[in-house]
Amino acid sequence: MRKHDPQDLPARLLVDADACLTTRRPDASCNACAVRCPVQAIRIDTRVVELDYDTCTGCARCVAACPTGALELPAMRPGHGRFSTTLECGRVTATDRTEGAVTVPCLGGVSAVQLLEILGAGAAITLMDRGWCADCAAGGCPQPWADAVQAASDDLAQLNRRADRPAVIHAPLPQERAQPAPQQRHPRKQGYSRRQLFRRLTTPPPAPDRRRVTAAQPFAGKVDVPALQARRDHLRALCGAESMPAVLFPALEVTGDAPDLRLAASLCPTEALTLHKEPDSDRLVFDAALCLACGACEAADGLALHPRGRGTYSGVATIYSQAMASCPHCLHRFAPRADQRICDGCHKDNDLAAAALGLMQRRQVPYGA
Amino acid sequence: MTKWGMVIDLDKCTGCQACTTACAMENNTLPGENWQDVLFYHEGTYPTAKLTWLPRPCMQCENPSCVTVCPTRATYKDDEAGGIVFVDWNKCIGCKYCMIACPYGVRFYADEQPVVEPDVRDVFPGEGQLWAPPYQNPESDARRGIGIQPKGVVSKCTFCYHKVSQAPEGVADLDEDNPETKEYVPACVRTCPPKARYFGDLDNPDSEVNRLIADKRGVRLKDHTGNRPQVYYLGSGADVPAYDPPSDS
Repeated sequence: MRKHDPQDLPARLLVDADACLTTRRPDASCNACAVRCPVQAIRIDTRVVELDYDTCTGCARCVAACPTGALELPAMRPGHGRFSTTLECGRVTATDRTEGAVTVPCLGGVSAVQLLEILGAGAAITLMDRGWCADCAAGGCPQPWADAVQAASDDLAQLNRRADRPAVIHAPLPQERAQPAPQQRHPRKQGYSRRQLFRRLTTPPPAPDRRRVTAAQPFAGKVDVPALQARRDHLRALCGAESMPAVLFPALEVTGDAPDLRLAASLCPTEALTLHKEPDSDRLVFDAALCLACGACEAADGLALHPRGRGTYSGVATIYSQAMASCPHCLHRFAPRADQRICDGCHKDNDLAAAALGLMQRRQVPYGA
Repeated sequence: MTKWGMVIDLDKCTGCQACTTACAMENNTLPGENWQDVLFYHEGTYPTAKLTWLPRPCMQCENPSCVTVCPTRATYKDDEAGGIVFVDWNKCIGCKYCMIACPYGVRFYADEQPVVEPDVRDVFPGEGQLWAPPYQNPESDARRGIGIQPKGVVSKCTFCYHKVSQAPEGVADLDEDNPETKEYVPACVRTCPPKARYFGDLDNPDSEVNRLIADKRGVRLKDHTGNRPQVYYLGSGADVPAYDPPSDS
């Protein structure tokens, strides 16, 4: 078993900028990690997620809270036994530890996806509640694992495997037998020479331009969702079949007759809703497994998001298809109405020319392109 | 007060598109953004189809429907400036209501899809401008829609206001053959090879444009809409005549 080193953990908390909603999609205004952090080590400022490594205790609750899986703490990859896995808090000493248990820095840092991964590998899960979580020095919280366990249990219930849901065993130990909680590292005192001090006073540090858009960091790009992809794969392993019940994922329904497909696709922060342009049609393609259920697409008229789908999920599906045509006059792509050959603009031009001709020649000119 | 008007003689117009080109060069418009265009129209079907054409600038209506619908009052009719309809690019939000409302189809919005490849906006990317070609007309006034527009606004013909406004006070006609006024003539009028276009003051009873409208029975297009254009058309229109099959006898 790897020795758990609290001093080492915080420095290894990583943010994947390609998967972070705050970095890539400020319009989504996500702050799940900052809300969950017990020591306020995460600060969210317009498009930047700032991690304060000196405050962070490495509990990884932010990792579990991130909806897209943008945060990663390598130590929070719990291994698992062949048939059963027992997860223990990192503060439990070796003598008190359950035989064969896997130690994690904090039980609250185990995400629902990780639980599903262990379950998908065929191992039952037991979490040991040692009773000191509520007044843990590293940020107290009565049942930090509750959300993840609940989410995993819900998914299992939908798969009719309610019996496999993670068990929480209440086995309290006195606080005195616990290892000290990981402490916040305070910034080292930094001394300045006189020369350095004056230079620092005379030249203010340049303020970072937080709204800058670079090629590597476009303002509105699609966000990667490793957590949702992993969830889909683990659920598929749990399900044992290629098609899963759609109730595990959100569903999107087209209610209007002519939704703005391009708007809807660009509002989606992930790759769940995409627009496919084909020569004779535009297709709105939806992958329920990658949907965050944020509801951003509903801002485009004629779309309704349901938290749970019906029927079976069988991968990517076309939810709306719009016939498109190329105008023979101006070569623009347009969505034709019934019996419409040329686009509205060219129709107006033709109409004007026909009217002018009739007017100039003092006779009726039939409209016909 | 001056009220600028244009007269287009369809009997003289050859549909050569020189006006379209001159306008695009004068105003640095994007391909597809033809403030001045010549519409080609087919009447009948093959093999007896007839081809006619209609030069079409902005009609600078006296009662413009585009101004009525504009939600931000970005487009306005300036009676002080010869009754020209302008777009204030500082106010335009690009909603395109005016494009729907205009019965003549003379308002333009640069679509994301380029009309020709490669997209010149990518070839000459501009800061604050839709594009930045190497040569630009030095005249620019965003409040009157002159110059190269910023992104996301509607643009339209300005009757070459940057030239017309320099004309001496009270002049009746801007004639490209008159050395005194030729610098103030709109680009399309000045370039017209068969001199099918005339430009002058409709409020001046002595102007050539008024004489032409009266003598040659000038008409305004789509008068039933009540827009009352300041562009008049003369003549019955030239055409490429329909093929007349020879009789067998």
